[in-house]
Amino acid sequence: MARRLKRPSSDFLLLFLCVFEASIFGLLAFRQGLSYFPLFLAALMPCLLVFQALGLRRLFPHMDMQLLVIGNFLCALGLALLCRLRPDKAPRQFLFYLVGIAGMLGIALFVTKVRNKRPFVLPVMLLAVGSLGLTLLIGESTFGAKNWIDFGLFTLQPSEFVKLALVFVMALYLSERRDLRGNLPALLFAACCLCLIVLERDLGAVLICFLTCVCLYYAATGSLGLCGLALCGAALGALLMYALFDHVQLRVAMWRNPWVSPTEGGYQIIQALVAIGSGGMFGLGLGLGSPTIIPVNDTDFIFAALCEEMGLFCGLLVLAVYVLLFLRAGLLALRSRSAFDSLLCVGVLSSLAVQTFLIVGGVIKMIPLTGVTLPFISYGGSSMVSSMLMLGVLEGVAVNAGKREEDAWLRAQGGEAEEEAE
Amino acid sequence: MNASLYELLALAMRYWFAALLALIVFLLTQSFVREWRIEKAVQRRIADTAATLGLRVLSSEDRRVQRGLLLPLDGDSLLGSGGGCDLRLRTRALRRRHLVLRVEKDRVYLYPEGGALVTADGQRVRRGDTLLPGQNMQAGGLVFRLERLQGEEAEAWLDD
Amino acid sequence: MKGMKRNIRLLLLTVTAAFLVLCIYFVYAVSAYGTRWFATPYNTRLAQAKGQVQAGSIYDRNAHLLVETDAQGRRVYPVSDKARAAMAQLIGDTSGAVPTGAESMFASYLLGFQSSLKERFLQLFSGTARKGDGIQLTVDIELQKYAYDLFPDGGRGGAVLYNYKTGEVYCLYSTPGITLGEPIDETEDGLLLNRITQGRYAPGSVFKMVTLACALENLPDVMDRHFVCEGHLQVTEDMALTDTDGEGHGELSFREAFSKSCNIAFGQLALELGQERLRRTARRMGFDGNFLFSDMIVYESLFPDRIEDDGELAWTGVGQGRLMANPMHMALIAGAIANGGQMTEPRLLLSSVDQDLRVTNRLSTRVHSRIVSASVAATMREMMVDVVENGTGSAAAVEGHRIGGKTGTAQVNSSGGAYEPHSWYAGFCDEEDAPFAVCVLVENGGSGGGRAARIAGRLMERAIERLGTGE
Repeated sequence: MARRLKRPSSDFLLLFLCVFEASIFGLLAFRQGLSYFPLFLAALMPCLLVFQALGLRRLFPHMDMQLLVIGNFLCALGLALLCRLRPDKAPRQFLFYLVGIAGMLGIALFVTKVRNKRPFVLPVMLLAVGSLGLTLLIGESTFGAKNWIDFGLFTLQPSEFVKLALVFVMALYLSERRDLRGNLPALLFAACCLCLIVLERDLGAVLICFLTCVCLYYAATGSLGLCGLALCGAALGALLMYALFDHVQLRVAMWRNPWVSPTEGGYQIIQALVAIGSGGMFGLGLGLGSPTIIPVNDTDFIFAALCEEMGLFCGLLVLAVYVLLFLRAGLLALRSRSAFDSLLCVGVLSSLAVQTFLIVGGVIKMIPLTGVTLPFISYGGSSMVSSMLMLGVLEGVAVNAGKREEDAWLRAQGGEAEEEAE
Repeated sequence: MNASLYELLALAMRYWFAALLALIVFLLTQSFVREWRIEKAVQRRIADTAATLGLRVLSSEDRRVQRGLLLPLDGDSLLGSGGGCDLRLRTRALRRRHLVLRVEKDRVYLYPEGGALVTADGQRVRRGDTLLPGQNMQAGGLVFRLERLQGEEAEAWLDD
Repeated sequence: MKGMKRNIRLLLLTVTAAFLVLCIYFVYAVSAYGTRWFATPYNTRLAQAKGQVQAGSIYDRNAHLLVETDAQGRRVYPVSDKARAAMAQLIGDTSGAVPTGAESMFASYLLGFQSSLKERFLQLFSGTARKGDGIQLTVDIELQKYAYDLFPDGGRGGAVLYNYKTGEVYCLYSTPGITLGEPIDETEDGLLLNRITQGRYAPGSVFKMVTLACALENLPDVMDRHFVCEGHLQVTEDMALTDTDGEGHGELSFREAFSKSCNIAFGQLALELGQERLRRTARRMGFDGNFLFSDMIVYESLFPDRIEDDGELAWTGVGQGRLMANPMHMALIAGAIANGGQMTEPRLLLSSVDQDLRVTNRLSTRVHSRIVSASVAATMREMMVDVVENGTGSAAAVEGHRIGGKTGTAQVNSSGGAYEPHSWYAGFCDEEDAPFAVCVLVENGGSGGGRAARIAGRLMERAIERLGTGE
């Protein structure tokens, strides 16, 4: 074997992704006359991709290229769909994408370079609880959930970032102690956040945060008993919410039979199903369907719009990409040599997986609809940035793991170590 | 471009996008599978060479550090009581950054941090001195023995 | 710790499994329900498409043109008035008010959603307006017109005749219906319904087919049994079973009990079998199920969830009580019995026709399920032939052919007063050259052996003439 540890080349992947980006934005540029923004993106996105691949490779020699490809692919797809659905919102989403890339780098740097992360725990907890409290005080509501703050220039949805904070805090605590008592601060923090989010009535976010915590706890301790108990508690909580909140009752009724009120309660889900049914195997063609009829087609129901214009086949492939993302995160968790890194991966993986499952399941009427976004693809600054931050966490862990493996590999070769001890 | 030409283009490109997507997913899966296999090989190699050695606590001034506690060694590990150490023991018996251990195939090289007291078999340790399996080492208020590890113990996490 | 790695692996497995379930559900839901979602009237794409696309033509199985779009974009029906009335519910209207009509069910073909890329290409370059594909139905318009003739004026109900080997539906008639080409009369009730595929009526004695199957499967020596019918049987304190005659058939063999449709005998059998076994057989024969046929929406027949007492059980066994049967389903059952116990999926779309009148998408035969074993089916066939040759179904006989069936006279009790019972007949022709099954329902038409059987007999005769492959 060669001196350095050889990783399989991702050059073809990057090439095809560039081709994909250029062609999809190129097509959309000609949809209604000549639109400059998609044309601009057709040129810029591949450049950004190449820049990320080459430039970041210098900064982080062990960066996981496939994760980068997956992240960029999903973001590009989301941008393209947005150019088709809401061309006025596309530039904003592109801006959020850039912010996301910067954030991804920042977080990756944090995970790799900062040795001691303990001092950050308390500020993060305070920030999370504080922002949630702030939302309750001065926040606005959409669809019954009071979950975002308007800052004039942009809007912020703190619950998206609280997910990451939760993962960070719980991973840190769980990596050091495995018993219930030691983790009490983390669990209290989690409970606090969950209560605040419940008060916001953002039930989708509650579900995601709760399941992420359970997954983290299970991964760290393996105590099926406690986790099972937590899940039962969640089921009871769900029943309670069903009894208390009428919009939950509506959602469940519409899941069981939306056809009874096709113009009111069931309108959203019926239009989504109709769109998916109209698409067929390969879709109606980008720009040729009528996905604009679907309500909230740029956020929650973007998957239905995807299936209408690009078909069932592409819908399944996109799901496959998500699954590959989760599997890679899992692989990273198994590879990494520190418990904290591993738990970070588990947390990110759980959060993204639960979110994706909830929204896709809701759109195809497998489970009742919950108002969450599809990570990377849905329109939304907070959603995009927080997803990219999670990707940054994964990349950071990948770099850590890669470095350690490389060192160990080289030592195993009997050669000289690349780095001195710190 | 007029509407009908666009329509035709969009219709034709359905298959183009489907094919591209399928290709991308295929390549991702292929690289994932390949990386999985490489990981297994690498881990096996590393497991063969690294973490076959570990430090066993023989005695300790501080009751918080138990006798018999095993610290597996892998690569370059910083031993100490402060945060940021690879082998972290919360005890006053160690300095915050006490000593770095570099593991080779069958021995450990010791690099005490500035001013820290480390002895091996009674002798004062200087930077770069070797520690062999079976030898005792004292760092601060703790006495360790370097041992060879078997199977399960070798797979432990660093931060434990 | 190794433990943590194990936990992570388990977690990964759970996540992968969950998404696998998601994907499988996705594929299943779209393939089973996709066309239904598309064809619903709430799909505004259809309305949009109608404005932009010239809807394709509809032909019958012999390539007679039934419906086409004229130069002004209007839907026209170049057939006689009788044909237009006969095919009204079958074709349906263009805006989805009759959701089971061919215009709605096959909208994806008619509005060009299925046309190939090459066709679109050619259309674009020849500058013609976008055209949808034509479709060819399995229906024979002559047979459809004949059904219209046979039905009494002002009658309500319908008739269906289909090929139980291939599933092709040759005649699907339902009345009253809309008037094609004219706005729908909102005031009249039930015009939008297709009584054959969407109707649910008390089955009356046609349900005895199910009771018979149940008896043959569960009571081993039932063929040798004899019954004594006195026209009246006190089942419980306040519920008595009566026979339509009231007089009683006297001593009957099992075969005679079926062919003469003796309520007493079958009521007794129902009591013997019990509601569990009866329900199980009914469900296996398709009751309470969900037919996801690709060409038609058939509402399921209903078997009551829980039967309270023996009196109700006895009446359920002879097809009254809270039972509801769908006429198409009864036809499917009759066809399945003739087909050795295998129920074939009914098809309405023979093929789709592209712009050059070339046929694409030929229909394929699909077996839906097996409802009874081949031996039970053979016995039932014999007994049903007996009904027509020696029993209540004699009006359904066709000279020179082996016809079997079951009549039904479903009592209808309404708070408003006694109505004439529904007249039912479900049957088949047990010949290789003419594998046809039929079901006729005349609402409030009197006894089954009368109207329904007569209509069925003549319809079957005409079908054998036109579509039978023998002689």
